[in-house]
Amino acid sequence: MDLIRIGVMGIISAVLIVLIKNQKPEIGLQISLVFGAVVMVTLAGRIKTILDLISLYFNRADMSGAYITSLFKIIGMAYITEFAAESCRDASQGSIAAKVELAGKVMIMITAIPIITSVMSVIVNML
Amino acid sequence: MNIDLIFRIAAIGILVAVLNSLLSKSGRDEQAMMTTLAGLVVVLLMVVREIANLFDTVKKLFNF
Repeated sequence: MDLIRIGVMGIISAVLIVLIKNQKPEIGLQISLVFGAVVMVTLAGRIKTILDLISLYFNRADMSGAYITSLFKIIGMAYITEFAAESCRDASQGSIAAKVELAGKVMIMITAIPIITSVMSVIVNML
Repeated sequence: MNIDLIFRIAAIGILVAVLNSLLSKSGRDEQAMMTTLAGLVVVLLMVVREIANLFDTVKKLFNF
C-alpha cells in the first residue's frame, strides 16, 4: 500500500520540480531533497523489521553480538552516504557526491576494522 | 507520508517566482531579489527540519 503512495508522490514531485525548474532551479532541488527525506523516513520503519529479524537469527545461533552492532552501523552509514551523494549528484555536483562517497567508504572501513582483525586471527590460527 | 510538505514548498516556489517576475517587471529589482532570498530561506528551513528528522531516525534505527 505504501508503495503506491510513494510512487504517486514521486510522480507529483517530479512534475512540480519540472514546473518550478526553469524559474527557480534552487527550489526545485529542495523539493527533491524533501521527497528523498520523507521516503527514507517511511522506509526506515520497514528496515527496522528486517534488522530485528536478522538480530533474532544472530541471537538464536548465539553468535557474538559485537559484530551485529557494527554491521548495523555500517548499514546505517551506507544508507546516509547514499542519500547525501545522490542528492548532490541530483544538483549536478558530481565531484561533491564523489567526495561524500569517499568519506562514507572511509568511515565504513574504520568501523569494519575489528571484524577484519578477528577474521585474520582466525585464518592465522588455522594455518 | 506528509505530502502536504511538498505541496507547501512548491506553492512557495511558484509564489516567489510570480512575485519575482512581477517586481522585476515594475522596475524594483532589489525587492525582487529580496523576495527570492526570503522564499529560499523559508524553504530551506523546512528542508533542514525534514532532513534532521531523517538523520535522527537513522541514528535511532541503526543505534549509532
